[in-house]
Amino acid sequence: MTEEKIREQLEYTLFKLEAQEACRNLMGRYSYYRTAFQSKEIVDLWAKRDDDKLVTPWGSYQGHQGIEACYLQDIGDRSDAKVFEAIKGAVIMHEVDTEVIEVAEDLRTAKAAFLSQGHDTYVDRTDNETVHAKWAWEKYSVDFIREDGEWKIWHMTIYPLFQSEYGEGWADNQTYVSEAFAFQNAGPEKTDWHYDRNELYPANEPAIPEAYVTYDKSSAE
Amino acid sequence: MNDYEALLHQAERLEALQKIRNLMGRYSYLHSAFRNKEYAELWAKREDDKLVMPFGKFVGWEAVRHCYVDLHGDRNNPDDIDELRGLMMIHLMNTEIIEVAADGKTAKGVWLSPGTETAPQPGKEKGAWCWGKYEVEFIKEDGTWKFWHMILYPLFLSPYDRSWGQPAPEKMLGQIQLEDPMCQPLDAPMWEYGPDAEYPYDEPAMPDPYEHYQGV
Repeated sequence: MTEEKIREQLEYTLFKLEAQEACRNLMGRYSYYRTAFQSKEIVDLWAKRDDDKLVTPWGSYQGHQGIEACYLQDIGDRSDAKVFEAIKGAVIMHEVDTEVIEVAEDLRTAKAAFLSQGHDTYVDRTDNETVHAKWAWEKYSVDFIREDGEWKIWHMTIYPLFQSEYGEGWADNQTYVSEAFAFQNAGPEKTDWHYDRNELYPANEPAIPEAYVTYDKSSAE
Repeated sequence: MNDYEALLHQAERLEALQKIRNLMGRYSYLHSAFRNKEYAELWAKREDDKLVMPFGKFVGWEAVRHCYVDLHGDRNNPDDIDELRGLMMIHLMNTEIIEVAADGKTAKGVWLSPGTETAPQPGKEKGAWCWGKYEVEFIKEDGTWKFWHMILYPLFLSPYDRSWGQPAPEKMLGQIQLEDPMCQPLDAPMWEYGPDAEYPYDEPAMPDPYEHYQGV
């Protein structure tokens, strides 16, 4: 192999490796910001595109405007005094691991899957200030895209696994999102799977990314 | 090897880290989804494959395949579907240490694995915590990284409402030596928590940087 060829291959490989690190860090930041209700910072992790998409157990959001509506209006940012008051007693923590990350050969996009063990602790102020301490596990399917030289979140689907009060089994609990929270801007599409003794665990949630050349509509399905 | 070739080799070793992380991730997702035929294809097709589980040891690719596809089941086998309903087995992978050999042919890695098992089986009906540790060796086969040796060390398996600090009166499925022609007995009983148990210092064995794997 000529030196020039080796150099090209080297640059390509290093770029891909850096991309994987960037995606990993994006998910880390997402997790930390989410727990801290730094929702403005979460919005900045997303690409500013009309085809952004977030699908959650409580509903879906389209485009960057939808992303803003989710994080800045439905969830809220700690810099807002009303939100800051409301999130007292809340520790919403969703760790991220068990990754599969594939960067496209054209280096423009990446696809990933993650698992997330977590816990939601919060005060239900609609129910006599009851404090809930719940286990909450979920799964992520995430697409990333390079925008102005930086990696951003592009599409994200959050699949619920289970949640339960700390002293209860999760097998019989079909609710993942408490009715104490209202999400005014969420669209109807949602991921509302729950464990069922009579059903087979889903085959492809999340989709396990395979190596790919370029992102197209068919690879999104 | 000139400087460029050396750098390329180094980059390929770094690439190997992500491919290995991806292998562990694929194992977790495929195994949870009972896509065990696909998972078995992620193992090197070698006679010296080795899989050590709390319930026995499997040597050689055929035995590994048998463990996952025949004993655990696969969602594409119609005969397995009824037994797979109601099973939710989630095993996360984190806290990694991965070392790729200097020669780029093999790698060693360890992970912690928090998890849950929910199943219509005694102790798991409403959910059970299932945590373990992995010690894994990987080998490059025809240019592709594959599983080669794997040890799953149990930490605890306990119903959600039982302290894992208290030994359960009866073992649960997965903790008992399996009677099967392709399942060999363990070389030694696996560590179990008890009030007098000493936590082992080398399970898993943390890999150190190494040049090459003897015999490869």
